Amino acid sequence: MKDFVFCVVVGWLSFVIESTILGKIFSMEFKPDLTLLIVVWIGLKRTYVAGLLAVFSLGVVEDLLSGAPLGLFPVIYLAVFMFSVYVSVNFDVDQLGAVLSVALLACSVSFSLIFLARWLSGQISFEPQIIKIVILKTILSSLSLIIVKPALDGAWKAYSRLIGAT
Amino acid sequence: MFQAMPRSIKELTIVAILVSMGLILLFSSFEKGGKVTFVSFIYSAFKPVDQTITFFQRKVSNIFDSYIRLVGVNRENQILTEEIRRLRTQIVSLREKELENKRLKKILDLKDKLDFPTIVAQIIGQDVSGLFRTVLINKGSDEGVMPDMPVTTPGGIVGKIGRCSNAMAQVAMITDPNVAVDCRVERTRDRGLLIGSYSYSCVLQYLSKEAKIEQGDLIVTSGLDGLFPRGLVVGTIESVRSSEHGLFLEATVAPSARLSEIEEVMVILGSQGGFSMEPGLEGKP
Repeated sequence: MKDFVFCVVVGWLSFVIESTILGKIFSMEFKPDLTLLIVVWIGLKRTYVAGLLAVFSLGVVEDLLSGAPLGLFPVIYLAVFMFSVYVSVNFDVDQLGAVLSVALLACSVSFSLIFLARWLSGQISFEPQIIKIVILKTILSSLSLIIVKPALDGAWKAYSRLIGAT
Repeated sequence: MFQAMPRSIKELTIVAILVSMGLILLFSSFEKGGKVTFVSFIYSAFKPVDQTITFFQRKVSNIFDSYIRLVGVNRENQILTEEIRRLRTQIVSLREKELENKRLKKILDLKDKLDFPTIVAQIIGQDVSGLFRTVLINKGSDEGVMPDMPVTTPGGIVGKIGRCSNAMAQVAMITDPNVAVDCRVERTRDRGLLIGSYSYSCVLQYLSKEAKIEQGDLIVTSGLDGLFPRGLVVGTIESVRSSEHGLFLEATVAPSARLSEIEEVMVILGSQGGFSMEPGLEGKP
């Protein structure tokens, strides 16, 4: 429960930051997806049950706040979470480079899936601009992990000390 | 006790002198009308000392008073700073209200022009992911807002209602590739389909090859899609080119409404089942 609360709170915080500060710094479509990075981070932490519940609820909120078809983000986030858990169990991902690679892969697949889902549902037609958005957003999001990961690790340590989370 | 007593002639002499002086002074002070030369002498003798002491007394009391005053001034300063902060907040709040009033007045003007029931809503959120062009408004189905209802501002149309809950609704903006609006070029009356584009503009597609449209032409809604009433301002043409297959012309359109800065919008109610072809804004002042 304590882990879940932490994950949800940082997720909500990421929504706030994305729609306020990041919106001012970056162009809307290229701004880093902090929530996705948080999902990757939760997965790498291997907080299974709490993590699953948290990423699912974050996905639902993201769906409601964006114009995505309901269920798109929960599915993507769950897939990213499972992928991160798999990677953390089977590979050594303590180094920042390894985490960045995981984030790069997760972001590129997630953003592509979002456009693919919209294209398949007939909402959009294919534009070259989409490839540009996917590539730039993936790079910017992955690079943001350099700041986001230490911040999350620090917040997690402080939270664990304060609340006594596992 | 013994030690307090004078122990030598010298000391005894000094004590005697001082006591005598005291007595003289005492008795001198009782004299009335006569010359008090001794007292005057004493006063004169002690005047520099007295002045020095008074000088320092004044200085010290001045410093002390200043300090006390400073403490008071500091407190007063804090009160005044607080007052300034409060007044500044009030000014900002009043300025915001003034701007809001101006915006609402424009919306009311538009409301008067429209022949449809409308409702004013505030924008309370926007798409977090950045991959969709949507905003959230604070009016939902409780106020009669339903999916596909047109949303507009005095500047131009904003989009249409997407998902809707009791208290809020999602507006898909015209820059979203999922939104299409049937439009006309106001000057030439050529028809086209306006579709959102990821580059923050819209593309007017399926324009006739013979259309004599040019940069700066105003685009208005045609009313033929059954969603938007006729004659609402959409935007202006930025550039014209031949379509990919060369069968039609297509134009890049810059929306008239400043979509990234709008704070209030107007939902046009009663669009379900389509609008009559008659009402519209064209020809109205």
